[in-house]
Amino acid sequence: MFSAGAESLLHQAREIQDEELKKFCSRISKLLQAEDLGPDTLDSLQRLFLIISATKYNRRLEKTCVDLLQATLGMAACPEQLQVLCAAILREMSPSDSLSLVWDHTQNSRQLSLVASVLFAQGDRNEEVSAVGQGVLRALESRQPEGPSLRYLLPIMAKVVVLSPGTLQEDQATLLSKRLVDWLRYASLQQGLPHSSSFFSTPRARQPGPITEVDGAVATDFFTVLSTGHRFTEDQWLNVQAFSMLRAWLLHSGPEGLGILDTDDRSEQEGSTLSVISATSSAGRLLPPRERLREVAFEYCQRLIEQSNRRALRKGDSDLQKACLVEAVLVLDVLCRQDPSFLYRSLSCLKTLHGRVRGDPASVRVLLPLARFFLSHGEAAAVDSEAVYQHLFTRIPLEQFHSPMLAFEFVQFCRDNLHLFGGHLGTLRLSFPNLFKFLAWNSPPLTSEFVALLPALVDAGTALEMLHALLDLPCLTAVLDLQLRLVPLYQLLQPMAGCARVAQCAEAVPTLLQTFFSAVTQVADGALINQLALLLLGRSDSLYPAPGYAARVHSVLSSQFLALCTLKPSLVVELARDLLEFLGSVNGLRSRASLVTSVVSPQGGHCADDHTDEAGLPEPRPDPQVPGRGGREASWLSWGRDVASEVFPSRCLEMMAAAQGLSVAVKDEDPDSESSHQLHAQQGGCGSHLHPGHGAADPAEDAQCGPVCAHTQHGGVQPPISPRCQHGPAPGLAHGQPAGGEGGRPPAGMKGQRPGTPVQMKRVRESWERRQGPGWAWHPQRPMGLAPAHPLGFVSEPFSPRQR
Amino acid sequence: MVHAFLIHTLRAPNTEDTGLCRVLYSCVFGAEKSPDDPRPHGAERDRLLRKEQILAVARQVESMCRLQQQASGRPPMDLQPQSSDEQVPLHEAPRGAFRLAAENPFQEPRTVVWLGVFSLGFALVLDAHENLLLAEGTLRLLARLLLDHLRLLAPGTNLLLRADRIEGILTRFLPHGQLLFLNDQFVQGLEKELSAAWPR
Repeated sequence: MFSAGAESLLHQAREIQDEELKKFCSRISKLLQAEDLGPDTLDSLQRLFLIISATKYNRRLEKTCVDLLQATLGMAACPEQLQVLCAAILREMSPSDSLSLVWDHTQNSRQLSLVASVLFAQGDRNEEVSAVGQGVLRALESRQPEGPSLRYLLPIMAKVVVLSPGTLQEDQATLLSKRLVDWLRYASLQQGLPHSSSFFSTPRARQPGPITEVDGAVATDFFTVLSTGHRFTEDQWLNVQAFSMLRAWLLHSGPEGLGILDTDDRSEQEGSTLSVISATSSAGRLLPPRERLREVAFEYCQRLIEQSNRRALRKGDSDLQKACLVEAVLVLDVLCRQDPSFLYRSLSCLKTLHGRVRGDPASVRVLLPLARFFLSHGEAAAVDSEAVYQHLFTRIPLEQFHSPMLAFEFVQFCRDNLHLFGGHLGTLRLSFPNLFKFLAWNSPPLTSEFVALLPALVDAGTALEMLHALLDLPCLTAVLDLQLRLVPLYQLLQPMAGCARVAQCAEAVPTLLQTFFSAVTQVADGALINQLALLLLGRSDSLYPAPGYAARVHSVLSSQFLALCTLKPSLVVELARDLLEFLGSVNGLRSRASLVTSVVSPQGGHCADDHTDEAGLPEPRPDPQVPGRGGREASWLSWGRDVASEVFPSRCLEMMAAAQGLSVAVKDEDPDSESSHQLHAQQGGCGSHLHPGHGAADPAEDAQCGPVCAHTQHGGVQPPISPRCQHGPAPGLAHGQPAGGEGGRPPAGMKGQRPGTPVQMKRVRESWERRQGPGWAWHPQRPMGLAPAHPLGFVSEPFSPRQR
Repeated sequence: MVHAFLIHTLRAPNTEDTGLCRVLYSCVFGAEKSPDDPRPHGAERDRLLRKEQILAVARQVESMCRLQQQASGRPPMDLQPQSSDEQVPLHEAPRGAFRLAAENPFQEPRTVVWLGVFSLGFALVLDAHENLLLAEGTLRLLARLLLDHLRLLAPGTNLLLRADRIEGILTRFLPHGQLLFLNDQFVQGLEKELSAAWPR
C-alpha cells in the first residue's frame, strides 16, 4: 500500500527545483488556457497537487498559473475531477496572499462549494468567512433552478456559524431557521424517482414506493435520518443535512451571548416553569421562527428515540441508531438549556430511554450523554441521579474497560463534568478503583486525561488506598488481562510483568504519583503526612516486578519523601523510632551503620533517647548542607535526606547482600522447583518477587529475596513482604506458593509480628484489611491454595470509606 | 464538526525504525483563526504551522496505534493484505481516540479519532465535544470507501496521485467537515453518484 515506489515519488515531489516547477507550471497554464480538459491535464494537476502538498514550505507558483486555476474553478462545463483538483491545489497553497477568488453568484452551487473551501482555508484574514456566509444566504434566497443545488450549500452554512458565530444578522438567521423547519419537518414521505426512466419502463415501475423505517415497516411519521428507501428526493437530502447541522446551528446561530441561558438564571427558570408546562405542541405553529425550530427539533429527537427502538435490518443502520440516540440527547440538552420549558417533556422521554438502554451493553455509549443530561438538569427534575451514577460507575467499568473508545469517552465525561457533580462528587471519588481500570487497560491515551482528573479524585479519606492503587496499577493491568483470558490469577500474574501492556501502564505510574502527591499534600493533615511517609517507605520494596518499574517509582518516592519532610520537618523526629528500627541493623551493615552512627553519635548528632529538649524532641544538629534554614528544621531535613538515600539506594541493597554473604539468593535457575522453595525457606521464607530496584531484572528471576530479607528481618517497621521474612521457614510455601510471589499485591501494613509495632502502621494495616474484605488477606500463615473469597476482591468493588 | 482529515503511514510495531511517519493526504476544513500577525509572511507562517500540526497528529496516531498493537499481543499487522479482494473487517481494526490540549498543537482543544488499516492510518481531528459515535462511524465509512474506490488493497497502487478521487469522496461524505447521519441507503445513493462522476 505504501511501497518504496510511493516513497520515491514523495521524495521527488519534495525535491523538485524551482526551475523545473516553473516549467511545469507553464505547461499546465498552456493546457488550461487551451481549455484542454482531458487526461493530460488531469494527470498534470494531480502531480501539481502532490508537489504543493508534499512539503510544509511554500512553493511559489507563477501568477498566470494560479489565475488559471481559479478561472477553471468557475468554468461552467468543466468536469468535476478537474475542478476539485484546482480547488484542492488552491486550498493546499493557502493561506496565501496571491489568491483573488470571489464569490460569484452565477456559478452553480457545486462550484460555490469548492470556492468556499478555498476561502475558508485563508484563515479569515480578510473576513472571508463572513463573505461566504452572506454569499450562501443570497444563493439560498434566490430562486433555485431544478436539480441538486441547496444540498451543497447547507454544510457551508454550518461551517460559517461554527467558524464565526454571530456573523449572521438576526433576520438572516431567522430566515434560515424557517427553511430548516421546513426541511426537518415536511420532507416527502415518498421515495425519489429513479434518475433515468427509459421509454420502455412501465408506468408501474416508475411509481416510487413509500419511505420505510430501518426495520422495513412503512414509515409511520415524518421523515428523519432513520428513514430509508431506494432513492431520495432533494428535500429528503436536505432533511439529513439539516439534522446533521442542527446542534451547531442551535448553539451558534443566535446573536452573541444568547445561545445559552446563564446557569444561574437557568435553575430559577427551570423551577418556575416546570409547574406551568403545557404538554401540547399544537400552539407551536404560531411561534416565531426560532422557537418554532426548537419545537420541531424536539419532535425530531423524540421521533429518533422511538425509531431507535426498532430492530434494524442492516448493521450500518444499527450503528447509526446509536449515534442518533447520542445526538438526540445532546440536542435535547441544548434545547433545555435554551428554553427550560422543554425540560418536563424531555425528562419523561429520557428516563424511559435510560431504562431501555442501561440493560443493553451495545448501547453503553448512549449512557454518557444521558448521565450528563441528568447531571445538568437533574435537580429541577428530581431524577434519582444517584442510581444513575451507581450503575454508571460500577457496572460499566467492570464490564467494558477494554473498549478504547468507551474508556476515552467515560474519562472525558468525568473530566468535563466535574463542575456539575456537586453532591455526587463523593460517588465519583469513591469509584476511583473502577475508573483506574480504564487507565490500567488503556494507559497511553488516558494518562494525560487522568493527570487532569486525578486532583479532583483525591480525598483525605481515600488517599492511602489511592496510593496503593496507583502503585499497583501495573498489577491491575495484569489482573484485568487475566480476567479476560480466564486464567487462574496468582499462578500467571508474575510472568505478566514482562508483557507490553503492563509495561505501558508501568510507564504511566510515576507521572500519576507526582500528581497524586501534589494533590494530597493540599488536603493532608499532620497525621496523614506521617502515614504517607511510612507507607511510602514501606511500599518501596514491594512493587510489582515490571522491568524498570521499581527504579522509576523509587525515584519518585524518594523525592516525595523528601518533599513530605520539607512540608513537615518534624516528621523524621516524630517517626524517629520507626525510622531507626526500619533502617537499623544489628548486623552492622555498612550503610546502615553509618546512618545509625550519624543519628546516635555523641559527637554532634541526636538520638531519640538522649539529649532531648524540653519538648522531648532531639536537639538539633547543625547541617552544613542546608544553609540559611533554621537549626532544628535544617537538621531534620538533613536526616530526612539521609533516610531517603538509604531507603532508595541504587546499589545499596545488593551491597548489603554481598556483605552478608547471601550469594545463594541470586539467579535461581528454576524458581518453581522444590529446591528453590527449600532455599527460600532457609532464607527466612522470602518467596520474594521483589527487586531492589536496580535495572531491568528479569521478572522470572525472582529469587533475589536475600537482600530484602536481610534488612527487613530486623525492622520494626516492617515492609509488607516481611511477614514471610521470618526466622525459620514460612508455612504455606509448601502449599504451592509460587516462588515468584503473588506479583506484587502485598498488604499495606505490617502483620504485627514483632512487639511494639507502631500505632501508625497498625492503622494502615487495618485499613488495608478493611479494604480487602473478608477472605482476602495477604497472610503468611494462610496456605496459598485457599483462594480468596472474591478472586478480584481487591479491584471490583468501589472503595468504601474506612472508619477513622 | 471536523477540523481536519488525514491519511498517513503506519509502520509495523516491532520492526526497526527505518523511516519517518509520512502524511500521505490531508485536508483541513477551514483554518484556525490566527491571531493578528502584523509581520510580513504571516500567511506562509500559518501554512507552515498548519502542516506541522497535521504531522504532529499523524505521529501521535502512529504511536498510539503501535502501542495498542503491542499491548493487544496480536501478531504485527500484516503490512500487505493477502489479496485485493479481501474484505477488510474494519470493525476489528485498531482504533482509538485521544484529546489534544489547547495550544498543543491546535489553538483550540481538539479530539482525534483514528483507525489503522494495514499500513495506513486514518484520522479525524474534531472539535471538542463532538458526537464521537458518529465520528467513529464516519471514519470507518471513509476508510472503506477509500479502500474500495482507490483499490488500495491491490498491489502497487497508492493514493499519492489520486487526490481527485479522495476529494470527490470527501465532498460527498464529509462536506466541509460536516459529519452526516447517513443510513445505509443514503450511503449507497452517494456511492452511485460518485461512481457516475468518477468512472473507474
